Amino acid sequence: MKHVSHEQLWNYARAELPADEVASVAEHVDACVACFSTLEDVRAAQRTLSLLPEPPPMPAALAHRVGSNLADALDSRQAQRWLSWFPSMPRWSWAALAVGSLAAAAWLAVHSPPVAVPPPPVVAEVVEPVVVPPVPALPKLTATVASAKHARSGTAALGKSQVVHEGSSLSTEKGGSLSPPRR
Amino acid sequence: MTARLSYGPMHSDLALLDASRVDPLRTLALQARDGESVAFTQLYERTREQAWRVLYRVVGHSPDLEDLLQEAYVQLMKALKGYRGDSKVTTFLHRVCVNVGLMHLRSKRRRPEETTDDVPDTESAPETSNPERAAEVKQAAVLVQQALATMSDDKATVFAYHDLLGLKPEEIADLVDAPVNTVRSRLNRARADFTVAVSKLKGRGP
Repeated sequence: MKHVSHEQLWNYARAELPADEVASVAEHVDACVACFSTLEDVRAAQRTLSLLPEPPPMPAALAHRVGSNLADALDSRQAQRWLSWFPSMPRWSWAALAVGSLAAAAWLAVHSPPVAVPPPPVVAEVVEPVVVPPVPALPKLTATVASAKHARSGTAALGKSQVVHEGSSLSTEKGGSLSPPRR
Repeated sequence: MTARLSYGPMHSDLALLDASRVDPLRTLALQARDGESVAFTQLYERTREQAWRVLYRVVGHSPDLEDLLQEAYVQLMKALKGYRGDSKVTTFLHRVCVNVGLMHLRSKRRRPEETTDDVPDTESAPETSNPERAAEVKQAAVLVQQALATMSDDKATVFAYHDLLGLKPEEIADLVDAPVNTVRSRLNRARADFTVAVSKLKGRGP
């Protein structure tokens, strides 16, 4: 006796078997212990599947958390994309870059026009205003010239050493004359 | 329709350009592929609910859902590098989400001590008023996840697409890049494996 296929039993249990097959399967299952047992297992499996709940709506907080984490992952991925460009360069490319830079510098040194040295900048003399301290007032000397004649002769000597400033007048007690010292 | 023209790259690009005008998601995906982070953010905003539903169908109510969703979009970000705009973005997203979900179930099976199913997560827990019903639903979800984890990669993928997400064999053929008849036969074998796995897990099987 040929057993009923698992596909037929599955569809029979779900009432999805074509009408022309239903009677023959039912007849076989009633007579075959093995197929009857398998049909029981199929029904148990289908009942297990039918008990699975409908998914609830996705919790908003969970959706937000996952979205934030994905945004962070995207940011770091983009940063890594930039960074990964450098280590991915082979060593020879770094050497080539260095040699190229040196060659460019040498070429520029040879072919660039001489640079005129500018004259040193003229530093303007800064004349600071001289602050002349005020001359202390000299003690006023009073001179009494005995006579104009003696004074003009200029032969008389001063009795005491005195500094005579220009424009000063000096007299001695003995009537000596004076003249301002010449520079 | 994004028919591949054999006249050269320019005609092919024009065909893709026309397709991107029709599908705004495709335009966003192409912009995101070219490094526009704003486009990727918008793509996430528009597709996140879909991705959430796919992952929830595959892994059930789990506190790992948030990490898995994030992982799915990181995978999408990487996968977009090879995106040429010739397939629907939702198709692309379904494939990534199912892969991430199945990988998670397999890794949980390999390291059962690290399971996080017992961790309460009130944020995304489905509301049920009947505790018995809630326990039954939870048990069913665990059974499906464990059964999926025991199945081979291609069978689990086809089973998830058809019996968890409700896709048609023609759509699955596009997703797994296989003929429709191959998908149908793979689906039948996957259902047989699933039945046996559930039976064993329930203690009924051989």
